[in-house]
Amino acid sequence: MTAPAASAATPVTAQRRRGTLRSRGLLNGRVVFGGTLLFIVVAVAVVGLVWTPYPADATNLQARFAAPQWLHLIGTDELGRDILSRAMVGAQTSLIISACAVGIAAAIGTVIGFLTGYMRGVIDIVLSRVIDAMLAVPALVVALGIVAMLGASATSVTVALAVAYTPQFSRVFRGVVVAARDQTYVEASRGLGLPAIVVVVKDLLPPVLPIMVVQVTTSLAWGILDEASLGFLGLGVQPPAPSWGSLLIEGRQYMYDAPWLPIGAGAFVVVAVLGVNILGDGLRDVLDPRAWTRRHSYRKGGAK
Amino acid sequence: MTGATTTKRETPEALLTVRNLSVHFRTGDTTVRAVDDVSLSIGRGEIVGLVGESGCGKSTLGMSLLRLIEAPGEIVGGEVIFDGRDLVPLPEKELRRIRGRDISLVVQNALAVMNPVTRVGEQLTEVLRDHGQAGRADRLVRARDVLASVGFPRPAHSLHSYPHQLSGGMQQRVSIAQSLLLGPRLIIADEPTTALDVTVQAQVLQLLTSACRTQGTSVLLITHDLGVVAETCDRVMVMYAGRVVESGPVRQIFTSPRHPYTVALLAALLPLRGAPPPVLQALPGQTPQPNEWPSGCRFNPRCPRRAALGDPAICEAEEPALRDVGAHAIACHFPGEDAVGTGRGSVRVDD
Amino acid sequence: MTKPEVVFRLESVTKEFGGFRGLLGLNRSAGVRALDDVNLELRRGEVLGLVGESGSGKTTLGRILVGSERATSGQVWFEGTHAEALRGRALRNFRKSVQMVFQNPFTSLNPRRTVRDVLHSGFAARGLPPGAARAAAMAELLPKVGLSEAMLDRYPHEFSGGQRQRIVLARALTVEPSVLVADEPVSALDVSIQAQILNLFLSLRRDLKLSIVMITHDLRVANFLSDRIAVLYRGRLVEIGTREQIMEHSRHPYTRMLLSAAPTGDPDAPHHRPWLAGDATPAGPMSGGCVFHDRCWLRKIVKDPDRCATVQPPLTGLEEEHMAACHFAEQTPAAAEVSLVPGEASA
Repeated sequence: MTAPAASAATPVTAQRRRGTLRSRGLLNGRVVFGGTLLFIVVAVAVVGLVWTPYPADATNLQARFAAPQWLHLIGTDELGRDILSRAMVGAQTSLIISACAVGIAAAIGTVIGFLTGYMRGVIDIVLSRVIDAMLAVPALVVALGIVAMLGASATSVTVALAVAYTPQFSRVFRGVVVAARDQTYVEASRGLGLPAIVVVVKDLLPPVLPIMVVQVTTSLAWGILDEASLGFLGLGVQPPAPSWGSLLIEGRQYMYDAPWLPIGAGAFVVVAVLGVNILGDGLRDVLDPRAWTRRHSYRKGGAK
Repeated sequence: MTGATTTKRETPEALLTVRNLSVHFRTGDTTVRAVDDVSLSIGRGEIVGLVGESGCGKSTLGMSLLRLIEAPGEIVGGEVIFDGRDLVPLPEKELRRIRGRDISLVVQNALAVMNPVTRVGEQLTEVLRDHGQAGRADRLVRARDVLASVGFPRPAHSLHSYPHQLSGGMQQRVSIAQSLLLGPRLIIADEPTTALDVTVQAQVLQLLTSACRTQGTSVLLITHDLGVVAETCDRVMVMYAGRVVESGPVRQIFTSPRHPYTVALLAALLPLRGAPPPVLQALPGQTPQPNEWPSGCRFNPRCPRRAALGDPAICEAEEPALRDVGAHAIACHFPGEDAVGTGRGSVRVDD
Repeated sequence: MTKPEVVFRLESVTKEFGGFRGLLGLNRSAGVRALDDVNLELRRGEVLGLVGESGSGKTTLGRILVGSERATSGQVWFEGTHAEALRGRALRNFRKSVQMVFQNPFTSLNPRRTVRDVLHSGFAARGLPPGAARAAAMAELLPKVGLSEAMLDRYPHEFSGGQRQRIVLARALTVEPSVLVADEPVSALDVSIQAQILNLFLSLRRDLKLSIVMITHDLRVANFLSDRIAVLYRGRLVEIGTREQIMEHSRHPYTRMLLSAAPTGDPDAPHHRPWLAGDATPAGPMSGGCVFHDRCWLRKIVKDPDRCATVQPPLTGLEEEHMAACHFAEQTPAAAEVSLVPGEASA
């Protein structure tokens, strides 16, 4: 028996677990917990589209500064407006701004990251220096400058945050692409004569994805916070339109007399940020195929 | 060379005797028997080869002799008797005195075990100081002499080099020098030349063996390369899947191997001289990993002898013990008389 | 006998690495010379062994052949066309014709892609539409490399080294190459698995009429597979000839040194190695002389002539097919006898 064909019939790993979501760990604790928190926040925002306990800008001078009670679950503000209703409507603004900003930043950052990481050369040198310069300034400061130029509005906040986040995305992705580009398997794919775009999609994008998930979730959380911060500084969505940021700034003045004003909006921010972060953390593990079987098989490293 | 030709696994003048040593790795609810019930002995001044493929447990065995196994690995049974003392129950403090002084270690990647920001001279003198040798000047002289003995053309000059300034071969020489410093009685060398070029490998091996021969140091040479064993060792043990399957004097193992695995390993050794064979004798299947040792004789799924004998049931049912057969010890239910070659025509030997 | 058809022809190929060019392309500094003036040809259907130690430039030469690396100077001709001038579709076709098999089967497969996905990429590159055509190609390919249909949906980490090397070979074969450049394809494998893969190379060569460049540090592997063997040392081709000429009648002192250093696996063989000295790592900037002169045993026997240290010996023909770059190539066999005698006496 010398035929090499006969020899390779047995699989190496006895147990192979793949396919179901649970076995992939997609339902791991962090994904479930983070997902639930995020779902609650999004659900509240969606419900706010069609129904709120009170109209968001309906004033009621009889019920100014009402503490949390059955009729106003998290109280009212100085004009007697229902905080819960305003927070529900404000959630839409905050979440949409954050999601749009991060989406734009991720898209542009991906393109820049791949351009600089894969192509090298002059493009890399020039773009990377620009990115470096932008990274040297805190994102919020960059955003502040842009909003100051464009004027305070939901759109300008979105644009400002997108610009502010792009350098982080491109920097992180460039690193991953540079590391992946020199892998032997990338060389092999190029050696097959595959077009560059196929190599990028098949071999370079997959290692970026888990990083992308982490970066997107982290940025989403920051987006919510930064929108609130801009609002807090008076550069965000303008009153009387509600957003978590504008609710926070309105509530700040009465923090000692009516603490439910800032706490109500703040609680939404905390839950949303926490949920997004935990979810991202859990998802990162799920995206690595090696992790699916690794936890079931002996790792050789120990015996070495 | 009394120890070299004996057929027994325990020799009266043995320096190191290992009895029924088992090293297991416990992760969660699985137990990996990386080294399973291994016995061996190394005589004074003897160079013993430990041969096996990746994952067979040879490195684990080597490390466990110095009790350098890290969690989740654990010595679960057996004795390691060095110079009359069992090292397994010994307190860590006493063991530390034995390591380096009585038993030293040479590893594959010499650079990894050296301090990158410390000069070669200091690395060597540090070892001497730690083991209580007084006098800085004396220590330096000793370090220089050892470097010279491992083939450094300008040892005094090399004392001032940093590890990264040396070539791979020179780094490995430093590591051998370090292991020789305290005049140990046993050196455990784990793939000491695997990362080196052949011309350098030959020089380093020559040096290691000649140094040990002149000082009467015993060596356990752990390697995957039978070619290296052939010209370096007195005796050889072949490991497969956590067990020793054959052991004996080098010449006998190479001229008349008895275990079908040894036979296959030797057949896979490519000739350097003469016309190459039209096709190589290749074992079927893959090298098993420690979490998937087959039941019964661990070699049975790949065994050409078992196939030739019509798949006897005992191979799958029972683990063969290492028994003396002629000049060898072999762990096979069918040790055979004329086992050279393909393993065909093996006859059961009644015991 | 007709003249063998030449697939690759390298003319004075030189490769330098790390030549720093400064920010504006000014102040150039010379880098490390990985290959120096290499002339070589690969013939249709042959296995050419490329032998050398680390730093010999053998891997660089392989990467130049497959087009992953460009020569700093010199020409690479592939089937009569200048390979480095190819662009677009012609370049892609060239890259398909010349496939590489890598040393480390653990890094040469993308851990996130199934075997099927990887092989399908190859079929796509070849222009096979998804569906029946690829299924047929797959059914034809798998038995050639000893893989089974059941393995296709697994990920690389589920395979052992030998199996991965089969997958790597399968990937290379998806595009129907005419040349395989194998860079130490068995050196990371267990001994019992090496034999399987070497046999596989033999059968592929026989069945698919492939031309193979076998890059290896292991003379035993080169001896087993090669028709011709080229020996590289510090970027220079020092000897080339048929398997028999190199293995049995080598004329370059470096080749002799390599041969004497290889473990024989014979406990009775004389172990005395009078020729061994030094490491292959470049000792410093290349001087004008022979690349091997600082480690050369022959030079000592011929009384240390200046010529070795000052004049670079050209690759000169000795007999048919056999060439060596040594001023004293004629004297090597006799000198080897002489230098062995005292060695054997003392052993």
